[in-house]
Amino acid sequence: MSTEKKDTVILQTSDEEQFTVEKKVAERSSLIKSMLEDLPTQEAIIPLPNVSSSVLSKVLEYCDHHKNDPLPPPDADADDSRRKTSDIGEWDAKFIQVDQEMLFEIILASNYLDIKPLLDVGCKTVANMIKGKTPEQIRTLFNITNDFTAEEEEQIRKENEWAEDR
Amino acid sequence: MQSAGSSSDSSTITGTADVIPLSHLEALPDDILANIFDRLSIPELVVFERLSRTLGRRVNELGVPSYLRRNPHSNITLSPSATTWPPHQLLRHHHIIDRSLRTRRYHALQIGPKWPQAVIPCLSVSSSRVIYGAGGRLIVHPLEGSNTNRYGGKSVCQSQEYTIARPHTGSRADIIGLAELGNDQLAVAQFDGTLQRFDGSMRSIAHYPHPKGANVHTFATRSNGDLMMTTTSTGIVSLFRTKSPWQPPETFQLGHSRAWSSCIPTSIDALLVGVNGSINLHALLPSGPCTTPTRSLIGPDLPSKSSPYDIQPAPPDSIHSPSILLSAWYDSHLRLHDIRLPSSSPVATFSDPWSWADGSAMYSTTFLASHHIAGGGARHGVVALFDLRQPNDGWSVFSPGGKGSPVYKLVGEGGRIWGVTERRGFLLALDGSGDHHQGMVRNGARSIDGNQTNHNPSARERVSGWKGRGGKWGWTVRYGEDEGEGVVGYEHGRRFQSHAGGVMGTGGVQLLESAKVI
Repeated sequence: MSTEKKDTVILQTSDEEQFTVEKKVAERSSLIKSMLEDLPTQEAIIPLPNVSSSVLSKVLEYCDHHKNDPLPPPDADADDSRRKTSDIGEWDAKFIQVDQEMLFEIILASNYLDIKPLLDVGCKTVANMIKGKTPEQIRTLFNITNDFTAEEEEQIRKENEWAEDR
Repeated sequence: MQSAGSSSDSSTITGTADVIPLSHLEALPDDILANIFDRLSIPELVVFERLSRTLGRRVNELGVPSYLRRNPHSNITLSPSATTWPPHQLLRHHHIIDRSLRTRRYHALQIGPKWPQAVIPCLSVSSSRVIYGAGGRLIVHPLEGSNTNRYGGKSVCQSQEYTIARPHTGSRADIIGLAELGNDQLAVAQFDGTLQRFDGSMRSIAHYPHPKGANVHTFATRSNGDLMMTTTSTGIVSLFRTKSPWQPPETFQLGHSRAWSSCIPTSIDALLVGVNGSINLHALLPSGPCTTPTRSLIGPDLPSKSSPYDIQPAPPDSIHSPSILLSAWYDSHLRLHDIRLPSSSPVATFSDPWSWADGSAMYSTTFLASHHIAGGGARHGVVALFDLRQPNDGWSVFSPGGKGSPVYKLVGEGGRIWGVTERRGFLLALDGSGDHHQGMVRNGARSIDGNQTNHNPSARERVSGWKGRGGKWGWTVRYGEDEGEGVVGYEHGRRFQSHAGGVMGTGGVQLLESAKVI
């Protein structure tokens, strides 16, 4: 293994576009970081067949902004505290102001690339969109088809009446 | 799990006549959807059941179990046991408790008749019984689930009494400590140094040889029942192996004259002893307990000093690490310490501003629900409740008939607080059990018969002795000495608001009436 590591890596998206990225930025993705550790260092073209170029460029914008943040601990999954707050930082809030299609693409990509802070920003955003809304408002917002009959829905509503008393 | 890719092409509900494309939200993989569910409150989660069949199924498979796993309650008296409840039913139970804590809706009842003499009582609560040690008597109330198979807390049934102090021993043989040891066995410590183990029929099955010549002040057991400890007025700590009553205890002398409280945690092998100024940890080594403290946890910042009157480790099945310690102090504060941290200072401090200004101590403390703690005050049976997430938003309740008495012991669980003052036991319920007929206390165990014959039901009394920095406690208080009359509580924060002109309730205090028990 070479002792001199390259400072950039090349990421190749599903639509075969290549991104030359500062290694420090790419390593915000735990997936890429561990791939880099396993790959021969010289020709690091990392294929990302599950991410399109439009989504990757957005994700890389996030990674670049946060490249100097401390990395979350590897067992962050076990730490519930990151799920407790609904606060989103100012820059992140602006960053995530995208259409719904892109929002879900970013969430899926950050899950695949294993970028936990970005995944959390995405999930917080979806959760905040849900808060305080009626079922009908949530259905409209997320384009969810109501496949219950009116009787079934009324039955579920009655069973859950206790939760309406907040 | 790694997942990715666009959802629109492959994600549809199959197996139905009409294939309905799934929305982005419905098509998310489990781990992402769980991440979103984990950020929602109970009512928000429940809404998902109504959105679509897919989301209804997934919230029940992912969201509800995850919520219950992340917000466990340490339940003692649930019927049936929480592990056998349908998740949805348990979620509803949590919702009622959360709402009660938020809206200050509570029920309060005395348990059993008032005792003829004021004593310094003790209390233990298990899934099958509530036991008071009052003077030389053990008062055992069985607990039973509802007759209608309702899911909820058990009700308190009529007691049986067992006098264990020998005749003519007076208060020298008063019971000072009780602990359930499992298998219906009970450890009982008396002031005169008698330490015994009783079976389910309250027959003494073991006597432990206690060092002579000093009175026993504190008693503690490890939660699995294998170790018991006492401390005496002369500062002798004795450690007993429960299963080996024939063995003399391992003893050592405290540097201080006496301990105010003691505890044997499960998270570390150590004895905790509350002395003037600190909670001292004495490591338990294979050769026996360290005779000098291995560490000290302090209360107020030095140079102030106070004494811890009660020490409680976080219960099992709770959100707290077992390394979290809760303590009640003479300087009217509750404190949380994390023994994993190198610092000896508390990580959080709580106080009822009224009790604090009155200079009255916290005598007892307990964990409650998911994020709450309670403290038993030195005066008027006050129980103060705090949300760990909002330490300044506490409230307090005058427990039934607690006038003039400290709350000597509290045992908290999911949505209930069991407590005891000098003449009676009581139950504060936040789980709605007071809304059900005999849901808290069965008729046979209510205090209706006698004992309040001279009391005028319409009388209202003023709290006396208020000479603290905040002025006189100027509102009228009901102490619930009359069955069914209910009790009052008060908000902590309103006191400060009143200075800014936002007066609520009486004298700047917002009063909180208890809900009527059915």
